[in-house]
Amino acid sequence: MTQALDNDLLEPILDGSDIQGNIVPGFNKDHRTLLGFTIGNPDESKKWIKLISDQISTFYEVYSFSNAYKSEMQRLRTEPMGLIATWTNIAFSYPGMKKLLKDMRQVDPFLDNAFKNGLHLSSSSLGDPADQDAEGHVSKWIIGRADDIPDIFLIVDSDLPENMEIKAHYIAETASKHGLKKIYEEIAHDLSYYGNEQLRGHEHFGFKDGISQPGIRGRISNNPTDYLTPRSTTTVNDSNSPEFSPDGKPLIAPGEFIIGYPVQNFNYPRRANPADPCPELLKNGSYLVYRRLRQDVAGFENFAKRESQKLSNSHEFSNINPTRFKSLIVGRWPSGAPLSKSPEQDNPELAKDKHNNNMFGYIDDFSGFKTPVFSHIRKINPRDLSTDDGSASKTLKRKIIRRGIPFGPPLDLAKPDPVNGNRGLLFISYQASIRDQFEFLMRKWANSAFNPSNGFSPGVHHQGGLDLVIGQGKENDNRIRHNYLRAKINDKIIEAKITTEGLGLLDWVIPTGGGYFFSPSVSSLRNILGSP
Amino acid sequence: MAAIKKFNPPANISDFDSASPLLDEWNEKLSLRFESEIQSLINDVNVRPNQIAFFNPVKAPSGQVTVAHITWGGFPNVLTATFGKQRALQIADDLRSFIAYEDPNGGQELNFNFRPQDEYLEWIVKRDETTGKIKEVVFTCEGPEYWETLSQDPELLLRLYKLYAGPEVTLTDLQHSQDVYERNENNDLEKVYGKGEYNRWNKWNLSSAIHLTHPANTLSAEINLAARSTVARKKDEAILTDAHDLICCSGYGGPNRNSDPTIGSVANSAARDRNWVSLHDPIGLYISAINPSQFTKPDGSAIPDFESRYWNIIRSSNDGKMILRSSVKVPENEMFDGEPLLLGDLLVNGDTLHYGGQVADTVTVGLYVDVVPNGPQATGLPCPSKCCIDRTYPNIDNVVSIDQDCETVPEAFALRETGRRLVSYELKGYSRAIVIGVER
Repeated sequence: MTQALDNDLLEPILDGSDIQGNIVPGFNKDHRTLLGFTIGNPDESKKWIKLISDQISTFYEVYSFSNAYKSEMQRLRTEPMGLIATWTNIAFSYPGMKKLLKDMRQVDPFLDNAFKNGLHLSSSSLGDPADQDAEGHVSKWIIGRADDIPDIFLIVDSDLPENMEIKAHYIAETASKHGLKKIYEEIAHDLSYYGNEQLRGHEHFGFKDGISQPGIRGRISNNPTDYLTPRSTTTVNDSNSPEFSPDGKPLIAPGEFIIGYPVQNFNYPRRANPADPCPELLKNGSYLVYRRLRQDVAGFENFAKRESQKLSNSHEFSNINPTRFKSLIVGRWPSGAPLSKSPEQDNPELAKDKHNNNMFGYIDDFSGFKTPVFSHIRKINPRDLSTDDGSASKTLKRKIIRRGIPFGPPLDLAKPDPVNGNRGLLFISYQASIRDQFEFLMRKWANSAFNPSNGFSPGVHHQGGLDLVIGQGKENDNRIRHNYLRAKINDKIIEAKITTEGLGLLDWVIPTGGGYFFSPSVSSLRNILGSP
Repeated sequence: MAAIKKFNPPANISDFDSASPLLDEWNEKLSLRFESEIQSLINDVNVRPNQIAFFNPVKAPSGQVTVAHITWGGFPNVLTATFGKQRALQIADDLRSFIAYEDPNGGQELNFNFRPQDEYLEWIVKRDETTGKIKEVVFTCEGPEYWETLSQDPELLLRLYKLYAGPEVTLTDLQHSQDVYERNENNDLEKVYGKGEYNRWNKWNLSSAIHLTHPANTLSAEINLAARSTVARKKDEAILTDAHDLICCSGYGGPNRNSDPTIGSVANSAARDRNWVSLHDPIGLYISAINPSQFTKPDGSAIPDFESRYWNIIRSSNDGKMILRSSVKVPENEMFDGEPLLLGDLLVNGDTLHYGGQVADTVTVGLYVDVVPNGPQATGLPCPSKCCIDRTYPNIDNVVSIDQDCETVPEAFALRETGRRLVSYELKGYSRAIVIGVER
């Protein structure tokens, strides 16, 4: 491909004072409060929105703080003391937006359909339980049922729990004075908060989380090389392959995450197409998906124990213990080191090397001998593989920015559970289209037994199976999941079947709440949503 | 692996009685096609005979055979890439047309209609006459070649058409009513079909989706793609591995499809790894699955028995895993909120069902590739082709000769060019064209 590249199109200047800071670069704090409100009186609510708009932390603010933090850390060679921040972001559901805007006609045709329908209507199509008596059924959720959708959703993050509490209290108190009703509050902490620093950044199944994120293209000033995401000097100079940041993030046009900016070309990873037209309200905004996912840690452990025991009795898979088995399901070891680069054992040194820990693909492991085709990280991010969706370049258009945090204390299997299983992940993602990004990943890949790519098998109809972390079994199969684990021994492909059959419990990631929201720009907040 | 004794009909379907000579004819047709593709690798692609990884399944090498079930989304990527999803949904349900001629002098133009659905999956939409709501969407993924073989038994052909399209079908409805001429590469008109031959684009096929109509949706295209994609390619001395790079470089298949880049890259990767590669008998394109959870009742409630009650497998292998024809409809007399429930009342991903394409978007199509170890060592041939980004539609690639300057490729080249030259493209084994055709 020799046609000229347009750098302004590929690397537009991002409006850092207008974009909310948790979208980009992301808060990434240890403590979080989520708040949900319903609007009582729209006029009063608008006054409150105007008031609270001053509290909204922007991209620039978070970016500057992160730079100061990094620079101090480099100088001190340790975590900087006293450099703390408390940040707030806000988002609106479709019902909330309708209450605030007098005329939706200008905006409505540009809105994402999934956002308009709401998560409660998409729930079963994402694989959530259809059985009305099941814990994960949408009618049982603690937030986000059809009759319980917050109009306004806030995220308060801080380095210190007490500062978070003060800010959340201020928000709730001012909201209440303006007729807003608080219908949801949830507090979450990084797992290190509970006393074990080893668990920093990990989720409840024991794995380091949030490693692979998209690298967002775009500049923060007029300077032609003042990129938001740093550039690697070692990137292969092949215009047809993706470009990566030094920490192994594939660079993606900002319009895939922030509305109003150029979007990825379908076929060429280093090309962008002009932004789709959008009304002022949406520009510099992003859709936010929230899923409250309870994790049944004991259930997952039981499954791993039973199946790994079964596998280790066979000659071909005798080296599989529960940790290795769980890692095969995730695609990374607990430290975060990828099986792709360290297939036999965990490698904490590799996990610390941000570049190498993220620079890998699956083309040379097509049938999944190292990273099984059903591994979570391979299912939702097939990297260099072509998929049912076409060439690998299309996968860049499916990526999401993840901003989740665990909730609840880690489970100690040797002790009584103080929260009776109430722990999991407050999953939050940002994307320009809920339908084409978050929902696509869930429907087409996590919940498919053979997509995005099934590899070679000795059995004609052997399907690798669902993502065993977030994929859910079909209702007419009683939600039972079957997978095939593969090994290559003496040039022959050997398979072993994994099943959830007979376990009693069937889901270990259970949706218990959530919602689809829109996170607007600060100017839209002030001039449109908060304007009388 | 033992070589197969002969090629079976797609999905091992039992249309022919076991003594029918057409079974042998089908076997010979496919075997010849494989041989011709192998020959073409030598003559047209310049692969040395000892480096050909593609094999004819009746002459399969020995060794463990493993199978890749390659799958792709059934809704045409080319339409989404060109027009955006919403407009693509509107376009995809309607027929398009191309032009041929009645005589060698180019006198009378003939219009042939086809479905612009080029992911080897086509569908028709049946609507309620009063409300206009969708009642049923019928899918097919059967290649036209099988039905051309079948047409040699007119009684059987008519019986099957009556079964799937209705009792009023007549044999003459299914045949060309005159000779058909098309422009060849030299712009001369040449005869492509004779009067009385089976007409792939007959009105009953168009209205009832008996088999595929899109000129790039053929078994020949599938075999051609599988064969061509086993050729390793190199650019600047580096062996290519990316699906898009490979399809542009080799010029096989359609780069703007979901299907072809993926099929090509899997076959290519197997050949690069020193395997023998072919298609799995029974050769065919198959509907692999529908995603039932994407459908909900009008109130958003799940339909747990969707697959058993709403999804109808009409033609398939005995185990139902290789599906050739299927449909989606709500069973008769099913009620919702006191009213009869139609398919068009359901939600797909939370949206009301307005278009057949929304259902196609929940369907996965696939084929099966066989691989046997200890194949030839691939060395990598240079690229005969390349892709040029379309100047009107930046998500569309035009495949041109490696020497052509992209600036000289006319705007919307692929769309315009192939709207007029469908038959000859397909008959000559070209499958790389983007075929949208022209609005009727």
